Amino acid sequence: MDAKEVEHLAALGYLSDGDISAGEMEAIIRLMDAVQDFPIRPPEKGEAARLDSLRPDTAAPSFPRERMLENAKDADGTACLVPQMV
Amino acid sequence: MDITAMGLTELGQLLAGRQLSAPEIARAFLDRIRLEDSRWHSYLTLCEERAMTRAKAAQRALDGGTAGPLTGLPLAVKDNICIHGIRTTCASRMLADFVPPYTATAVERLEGAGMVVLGKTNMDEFAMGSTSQTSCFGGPENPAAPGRVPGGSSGGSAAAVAAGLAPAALGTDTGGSVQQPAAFCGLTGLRPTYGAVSRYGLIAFASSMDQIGPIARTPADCRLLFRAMAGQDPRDATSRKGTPPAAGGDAYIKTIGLPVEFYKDLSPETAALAARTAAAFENLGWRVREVSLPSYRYGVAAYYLLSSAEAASNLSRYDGVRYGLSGRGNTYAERVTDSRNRGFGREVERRILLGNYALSRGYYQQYYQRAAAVRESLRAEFDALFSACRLLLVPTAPEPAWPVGQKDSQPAEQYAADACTVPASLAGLPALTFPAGRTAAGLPVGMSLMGRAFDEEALLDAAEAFLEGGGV
Repeated sequence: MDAKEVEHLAALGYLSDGDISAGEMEAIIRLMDAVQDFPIRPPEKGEAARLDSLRPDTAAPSFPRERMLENAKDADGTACLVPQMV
Repeated sequence: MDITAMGLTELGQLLAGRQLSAPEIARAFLDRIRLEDSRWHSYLTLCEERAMTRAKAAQRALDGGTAGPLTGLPLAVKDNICIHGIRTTCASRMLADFVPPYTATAVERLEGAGMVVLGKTNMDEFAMGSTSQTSCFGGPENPAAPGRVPGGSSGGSAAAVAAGLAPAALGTDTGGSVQQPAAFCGLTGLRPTYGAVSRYGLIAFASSMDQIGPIARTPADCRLLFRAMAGQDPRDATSRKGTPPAAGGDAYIKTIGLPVEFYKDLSPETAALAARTAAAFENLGWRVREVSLPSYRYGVAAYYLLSSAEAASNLSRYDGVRYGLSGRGNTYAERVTDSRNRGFGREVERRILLGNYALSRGYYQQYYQRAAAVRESLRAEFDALFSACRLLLVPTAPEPAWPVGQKDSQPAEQYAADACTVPASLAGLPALTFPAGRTAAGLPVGMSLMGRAFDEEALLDAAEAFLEGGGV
């Protein structure tokens, strides 16, 4: 892994301060390489994720808007404010 | 009478016998925290006024005859579990000023049973770590092994109980974060079956593995907390009220398996105490036999790939807009990046990068898909083992607590130390750590019992019998 790849992975996560080195990530990936020799089989026909019984949808009141805005740094009482995207 | 040296069961008996009052008990713990926690740094937020108000309300219930077994008993809560109106930080700059607008179901149930929350405890940032030293507020120390880590990520909770600053605490366990700190601090800690305890109000790390669990002085105390917290919650679709497995024949009921893979690469003293623990269970009438979990060797890698992928997704919500540290920037992207650069510590950033790597094109099949396949394989292997054994006995960690700072520059080495706890997390099974003696230097060593889904009572029964039988 090189610095450019680390930068790319960081950018995917909206991070950019260069705290993590390529060498550090390389050592971690080497540990992760243990799964490389684990065989995976293609899914069998008809095999799919099974959903166990789900609870019925029930309508319930939302949290009050003011309560949800209490932790927002910039809000106008009805919404959070962000810089305009051009 | 040293109130702060007692556990929940003992304090409950004294409350019921009117030998102590709830405000007296709360005051004793709060005073001791003020006096001693600057040494251990186990708490991040103390809720003194709130605790005394609730202690007085609990006493009214005790006086009026409407109290239950937990009424008036104090509790510490890990700082990634939300309590309405109380700062909840996840030990991160990102949430340093975050005040949750609601309370976690687990805490609601315990407070509803009359428990008194003393405060919020220190932890690894966003529950990512095995030492609790990644806390942006500075890490806690191990009262049972001064100068050493208390384990993580629930190290503050374990340290608080070990130091007599709470009779019990809530931690959270994703890959061993209740068990390992409980073991390092000489305590009992339960990782419940996935889904047994609601995750509503638990700030997410890896949603398919996170669970809230108790850390206490005894299995009996863990049982009190677990029974009160557990159960289906309509606010958490992954929670369910499970039924314990049907009892098998006598031979099955009293068989403990020792998966041989867990017993390799242990420190010599951990290996010796593990052998003595197995012998002690034999003396208690259990049939102990060696078994095998072949996919064990892939466990650490599978855990870190899956949990980091989930963490990268879960932590994408921290953009500084609706809550959390808010950065500066002329565009949305600049502002979000600045928020996250300033808000997250190094270990969190590492996990996000690893998660993005595992999920990215070109690597997804090699890493994430294989990790998911390992998980399925572990589940099948555990199913096979539990058709022949009621319980499995394994070391909680390969070695006891290490000195603070020793492994900070070696993240991969720290990850490898989770090998004994991650299999239960991957398979969604319950696991209970209990004290199994100390090394010659006095360091606590824990052993863990694993069981089938929703068989927590069997784990607690077995651990209780072991400890009442004198342990090792």
